[in-house]
Amino acid sequence: MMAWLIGLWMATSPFHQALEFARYLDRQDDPYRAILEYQRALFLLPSPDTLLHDSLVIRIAQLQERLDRPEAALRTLEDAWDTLASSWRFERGRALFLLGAYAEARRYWQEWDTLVGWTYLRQQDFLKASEFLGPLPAPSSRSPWLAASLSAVLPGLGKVYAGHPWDGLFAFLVNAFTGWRAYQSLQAHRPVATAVYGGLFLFFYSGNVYGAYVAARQYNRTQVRLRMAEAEVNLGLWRYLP
Amino acid sequence: MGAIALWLAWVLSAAPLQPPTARTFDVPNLGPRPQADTLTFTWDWSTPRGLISGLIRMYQATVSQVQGDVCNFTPSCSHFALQAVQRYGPVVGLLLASDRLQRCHFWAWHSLGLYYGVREVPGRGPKLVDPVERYP
Repeated sequence: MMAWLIGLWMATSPFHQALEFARYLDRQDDPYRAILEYQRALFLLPSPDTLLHDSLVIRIAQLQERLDRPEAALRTLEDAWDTLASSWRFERGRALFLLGAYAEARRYWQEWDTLVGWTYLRQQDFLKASEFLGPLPAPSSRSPWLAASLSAVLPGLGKVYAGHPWDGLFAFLVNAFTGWRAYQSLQAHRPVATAVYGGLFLFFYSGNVYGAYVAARQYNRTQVRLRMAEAEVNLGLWRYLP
Repeated sequence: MGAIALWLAWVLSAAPLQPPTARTFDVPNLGPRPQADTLTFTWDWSTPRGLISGLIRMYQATVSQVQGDVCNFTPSCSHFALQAVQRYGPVVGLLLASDRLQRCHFWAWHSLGLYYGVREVPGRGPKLVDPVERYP
């Protein structure tokens, strides 16, 4: 009789109806409306200071993270009590992680070494990350200043150093041609041609030096991104994303 | 005469040796560009930025029309230069434009992996995607 009465109460209570519908929407992969229904259930929840309250809050935060709204998830998590402390810390850390606040996220993820390592990895601190994630191959790098210096000494050499051999070869040909023509014009006392070719040479020469600097920086960025993605895939870190 | 020869050499050098087809590459084909490859432009000769931008627009309206589509990239070198000058100012913009001109050659497609990918530009064929947002 008692069980029947409880069943009847659960079937007719607005809270349970909202909760069941929210779960149904969640299963249907409709996070927008599921959030709304979970919030409705939260509003109708008879006693707030419970495990159920916190599990609802955390589920809403998870769905908000899935919808790429980590700042809303952070606000939602502020409503939680302290019944699911570990899950709460994980979600809060994840919301901060998604916002790019890696140092902040680390404070909440202290109990999970892998996640702490992941925050260092995202901060491109491969040395520190490998303390938590195991040995990681460090990304190779090229010095932008060295690339620029090489191009200043021999046009195109900096580009070759930065991993653009074809661009380096072409830059060398262009600089050599314009420089040689400028020199020839100077020798032949033709001021207009000297100015034209000299100007062109300066334009290409300075562009090549700057281009080598930029190419080395891009090389470094690409290598870091590659190594980071490689580590995230190999270590299965993607599974911690919402 | 030498300048004309240089210009002709440049035009010929920019044309890729083998017209590529986008589907043969193992880099992403980014599909059509979402918006037109144009820029809001107002003539302003009073500042270096405006002066250089004006000269590039004049090039686009004259030489580029005769020369046809020979650029390997999208946005094309002149559009890149215009955007670079407007975005980063005349000095850095010109340096970037100079660098881009030295990357637009008949071996450019060998450096495919260094760019964002390939985009099929309507009426122009496949182009290497190299937006100014990548720089400096």
